[in-house]
Order: sequence, then structure tokens, then C-alpha cells
Amino acid sequence: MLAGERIVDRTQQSGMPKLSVDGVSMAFGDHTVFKGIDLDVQAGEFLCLIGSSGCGKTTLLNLIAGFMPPTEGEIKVSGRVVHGPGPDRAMVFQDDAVFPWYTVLQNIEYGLKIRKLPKDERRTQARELTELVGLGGREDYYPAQLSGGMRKRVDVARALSVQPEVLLMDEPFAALDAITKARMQEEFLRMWENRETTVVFVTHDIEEALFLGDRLILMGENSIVRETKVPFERPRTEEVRTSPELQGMRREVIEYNRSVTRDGETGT
Amino acid sequence: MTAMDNRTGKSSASPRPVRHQIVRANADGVAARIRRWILVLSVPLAFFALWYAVAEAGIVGRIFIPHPETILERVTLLWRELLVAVWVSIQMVAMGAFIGSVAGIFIGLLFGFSRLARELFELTLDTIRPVPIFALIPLFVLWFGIGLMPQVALVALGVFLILSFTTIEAVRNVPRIFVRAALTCGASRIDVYRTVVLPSIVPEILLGVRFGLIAAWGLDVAAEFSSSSEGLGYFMIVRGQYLDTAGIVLSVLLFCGCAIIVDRALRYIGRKCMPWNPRVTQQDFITELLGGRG
Repeated sequence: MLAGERIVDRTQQSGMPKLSVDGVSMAFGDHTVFKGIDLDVQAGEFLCLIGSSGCGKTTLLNLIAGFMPPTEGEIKVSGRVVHGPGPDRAMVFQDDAVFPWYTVLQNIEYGLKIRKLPKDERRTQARELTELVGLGGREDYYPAQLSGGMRKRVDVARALSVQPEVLLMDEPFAALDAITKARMQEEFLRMWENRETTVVFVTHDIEEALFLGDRLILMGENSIVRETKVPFERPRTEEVRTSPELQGMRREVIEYNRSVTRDGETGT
Repeated sequence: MTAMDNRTGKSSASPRPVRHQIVRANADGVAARIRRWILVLSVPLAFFALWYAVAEAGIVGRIFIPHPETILERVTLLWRELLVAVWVSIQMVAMGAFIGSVAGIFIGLLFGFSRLARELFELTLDTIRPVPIFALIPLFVLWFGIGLMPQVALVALGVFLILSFTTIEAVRNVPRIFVRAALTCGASRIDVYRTVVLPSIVPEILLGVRFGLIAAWGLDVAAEFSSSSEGLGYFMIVRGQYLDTAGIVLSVLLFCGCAIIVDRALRYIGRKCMPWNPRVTQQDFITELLGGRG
């Protein structure tokens, strides 16, 4: 990782996008969630999908994960069409998804075991990840013995272990308390800055999106209504979060979302 | 004079928080253990005392309620015969329950795994389930004759129906999020079954096996009543023909003893194989509120 890389605008088109969503529509019966979504995510980009509850951001993420096929359109990762879930798109969930019957270490090495990595190798990797997410010394704990924040760390480590091409995150920190949440965001940012994984991060917290992301995609009633590049330099620190620039952008996005939603309501 | 708390100086006359009392009840001290055993044994002992008193007083005829001493006499007189009978019955139940459980769990898992299996067998299975199994005894005797076969088959069928049902429901109840997490880590269908479905249904399966075994003892008795010439159920029938109430009560007690030992053993095994389950391992006051461990 070169220091110069950080200055590169990761949102800029550079060859084939890592993830591309082409004309994707989704409907459950008569209910249209969204229509004709087009979205490209570049390699190493941190993209945040934001929007009010029910706008379909989680549905879009689930489509990318391959949990269900879109009604129309195509999703591609490195040019390959998505046909189902796979480790190239590991996911960190909003709810508790850590396997309660496995210990911390067994959870973190799960994907490597599935991949049939020799035991020594996967143990070494899993231990490194355990340290990385700050759970060193708790390898043999069961999830029931951990706090919510610690379980989230396990979840993050398990997703990172399979070295996904795109890491999908569905409001991963939403259920945590404010202090734990802020700490997890910073720690996750440090990890990501060292690994340069492509991330699609769903959240309804605009501040979180501005603090973490390179680009924000705001989803409205049933389509993308706005795209915002986040200008803050990396590595980002706590000062960025409280900076007037970030807070100003936050206000702007909130107001924009409000105006769009109101229009949407009067329109239909 | 009211006792004062050292640190706060507040009166400690206010009621103690509930949690406090529960933690004390759970403490592993010798005194707590003794107290627990006294409580646990008090009801059976009181029941026995009442029985003894009634028998001693002679209010009810011996043919209806035998004297405990008569039962003891039966034991000393017939213990060889009893031992063989109990052993035969245990074998019947063990074989039947084992075959029934394995088959039930297998079909339950297969139903979850394969749509074809569901479509092929679901209607048949749902139709058989409500049939009173006791009603099949004459058929089983007709098909398998007198002896071990009809009994084992009957017990196995009963346990199978319970376990297949429990397993199917347990598989359906596996939290979807775990399956999704496994799939995004690269798990195949078989991996999901091995690493998610199987471990997460263990608690329910164990419950099913416990239910199955309770039913198994009943089925075994019924089968031995009508299609056997050995076992505890047969012993019971013979005693009945002699109008030997003590012998019948003794058989009942032996059945109860076997059943409780097996059930407690299963609970113990359950605790040992699920160290991850907070229901089993945590001794907090929530567990206490929900009826204790195991």
C-alpha cells in the first residue's frame, strides 16, 4: 500500500468496475421496491447506500449478495453475473449472525474451513483476524458470553476472513450503543484502510455514511435520487466526524432527502 | 433497632432485590445443596408416607392398595424374574427408540434438504401420524407374530412419528440469518446442513428424543401386554391374572424408575453437548425466570 494511493479518487472510473448493477428492478408481487437501478462500484471504493426505512437499500444489498434474483437487470462482480450467494461477496449483517454453537475462533475460521484450508493455516489466519478485531484472548469464548459489540467484531472478522471482492455491510453497527458504534466505525475504517477492500455499506445514518464512505448513494421512493462524493481525506479521524464540513453535508443530504420524499408523496 | 448498611447508611429494612435471593438459591454451597435435596425429595417421601399410612390403617382393601411391605416381599421373592423382565423391556425400548429416532431424524433432515422427498412422503406421513399406534398392535402381531419383532416395530414406529415431526419443524425453524451468513462464507448446501442446520436443531431434537422415549415406555408395555411372553409388561399381565396388585404396582414403579433414569441421562447429555446454549450454561436470573437450566 503506497501513501500516494490514498489521494487517488477511488470513485473515478478506471477500467472494469468491481461491482456493477445494470438496470436492476425488484418487485414483490405488485409492490415495486425500485426500478432501473444503475450503479458501478470501483475496486477499493467504499460506497454507502443511504435512504429512509423501506426505500429498498437492504433489498438491493440482498440482491447483490445473491439471496434472491432481481426481477429485471443484472448484477456483476468483476464481470461475472451474480447467480447466488458466494464468498466473493461476504456480508456483515444487522442482526446477530454469529453462530452461537461455535467459539469465537471457530466462527472466524468458518469460511476458511469451508474452503478446506489446512488446519494450521486457517488457525494462524483466524488468530491474526481475532487480534485485528481486538478479540485476542477470547478465542475460546462462546458468543453468548460476549457483548453485542464483541459479537459484531466476530461477524466482521468472519466476513473478512474469506477475502471478499466486495464486502457487503447491512447496517452493521445500527444495533450498537452510540459509544461502541463510534469506536467500531473508527476501528473498521483502520482495518479497511489497510486492506483496501471494496465495500458496499447500507445505513440510514448519514453521519456514519459521510464518515466512512467515499461516495454516498441516496435512495428515494424507488430509485437512486442523488449521488454525493465524500471529499474528506484519509485516514479519517474523529475530528472529521465533528467537522463543520461533514455536518454541513449531512444537513444538506437530510434536507434534500426530505424535499424528494415530500415530492414523492404528493406525486403518488 | 434497624440494621444499617455500612456504606450507604440507609436502612436495610427495604425488601431485598429478587436477583439477590435467586443467586443465593443457585449458590453451590453445601447448605444450599442439602436444602435443594430436601425440597426435591420431600414430595415423593410425603407421598410414600401417605401410602404407608393408608395401607397400615387398612382403610382400603389390600387388593386395591397393597402394603409397601408386600411389594418388598415380591422383590425378594421374584427378583430374578424381575431382573430378566426389566432387561428384556429395556432392550425393546432401546432398540425401538434407537431405530425410530434415527429414522425420524433422517426423514426430517431429508425433508428439509430435498423437495422431492417432501413431495413424495409428506402426505403419507401426515396421514399416518394421527393413527393411534395401539390400534396397530393386532396388525403387527399378525404380520410379525409373537415376540420381539412386533414390539420393536411398534416402539420404533411411535418414536419415528414423533422424531420426524420434531425434526421437520426444527429444520424449518433454523434462523435464516445463520443460513445466509454461511452461504456468503462460501458454504454449499451440504455445508449449510452440516455446520448450521445440524448444530442449531440439536436442542429441539433432544427434546424430541425425550418425548419419544416417554412414549416408547408406554408403547413397550402395550406391546408386551398383547404380543409377548416376556418383559415387564408381560410380567404385569401375569400378575394381574393372579390378582396380585403388589406385583402390578411393582412393575409400574420399575417402569417409572427406568423412564426417569433415561430422561435424566438425556438431560445430562444435552447439557454436555450444548455448552454454547445460554439456556444450558448460564445460571443467571433470566434462566431462573424461565424455569431453570436444561
